[in-house]
Amino acid sequence: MPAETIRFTLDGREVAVTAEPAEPLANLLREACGIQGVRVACSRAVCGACTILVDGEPAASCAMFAYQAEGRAVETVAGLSQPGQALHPLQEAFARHAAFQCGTCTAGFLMLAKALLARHPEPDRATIAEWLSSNICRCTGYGAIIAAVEEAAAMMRAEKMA
Amino acid sequence: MRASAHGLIATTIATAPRAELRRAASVPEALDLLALPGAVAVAGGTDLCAQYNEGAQPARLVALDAVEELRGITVAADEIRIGALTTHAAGSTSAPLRAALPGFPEAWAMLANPRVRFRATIGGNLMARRTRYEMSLLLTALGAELRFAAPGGGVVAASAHDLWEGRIPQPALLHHIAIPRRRGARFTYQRALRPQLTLALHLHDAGGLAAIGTEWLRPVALPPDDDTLSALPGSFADPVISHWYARRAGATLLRRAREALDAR
Repeated sequence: MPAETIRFTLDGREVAVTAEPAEPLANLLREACGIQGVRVACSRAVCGACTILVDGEPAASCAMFAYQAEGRAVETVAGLSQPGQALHPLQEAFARHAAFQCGTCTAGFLMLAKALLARHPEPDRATIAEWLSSNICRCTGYGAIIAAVEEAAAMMRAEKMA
Repeated sequence: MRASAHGLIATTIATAPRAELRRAASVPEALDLLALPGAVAVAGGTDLCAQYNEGAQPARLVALDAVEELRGITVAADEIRIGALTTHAAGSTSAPLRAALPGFPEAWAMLANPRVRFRATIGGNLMARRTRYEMSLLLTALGAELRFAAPGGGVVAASAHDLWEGRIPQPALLHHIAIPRRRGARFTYQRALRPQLTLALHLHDAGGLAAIGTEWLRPVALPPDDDTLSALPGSFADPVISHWYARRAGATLLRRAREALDAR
């Protein structure tokens, strides 16, 4: 299959990437775009480590084809904050709660949580647990992650009010 | 990375031979492309990923994203039409659907996880023909029709049972699902015993229908007032649940379903 130019928005900037359209989007992001923060663990859309946002909606980039990004807005963990700038509240809260250990799942959790908080700015614990059930962590358990998401939600609400 | 995918490592879309991508812009074009050797339809692609893991290596992917005719939910006087490309997220949050068929969007919202819901479609859920996917059970209770695009134009209707029996047009392109509208319709889905047993109940002023299924068995339609599940076929058993258990537990689920609807 010949390579094509795939145009999309990646973390806020327009990109045009030459790739095979039926290759996994995760490969394109990691190899052609250099976004190593997109982790690939299970390669079967089960674990959620490769979660990105496509037009604001969470998606497993290992189970998407590259062509499915055409014309879309793709957000990865690399776009959450820029070097030298303040961390995203989710990143801050994850760090404060030590909501990671090996780190393989963390990028996916951060992106999933971003999508959650965009839809539920004041999520209750049940809603957080239901959303986070999409992703798997085998190090920390989920208590610290849930606490971090709760704190990030509060920080984001406070930022909005400030 | 191009592993050979032998041994304990499953094939993935990264390791399988790369398929040719064809983009369909219309229903007739999609049918033409799906008639090509080794062609498979791609909607959200979430189940196709699982199929790759199971060894599928399609030669051609037919992208349906641009076929707008397959999208959307329409509520008419006599039926509800749900386009095959409707995602779980869109369907389960549809206000018109909620108004027309209370309980069904809530049941739909139970399927999959939040990440999958935004990409996976009702068409993919059905066409995957996996007993652990639950939409065919919900639609069995609703007496829904699956309407497939016909090569000469128009649609060909099939039931959820026909889908399981393989009695569907080829090449198969699910166009939309049609749910008949009934006065006083209400719906509930009892899922607490999943994966062993789940039950959907659809009641309306003129009667209703229940449907029961398991992770491994095709859904079966039952009369809604069959308190002992006497109509459950003797073959309804799997390695996890016996027929006796299915009848006992199913009767409990049916009672709970009726109570849930009465409480509304």
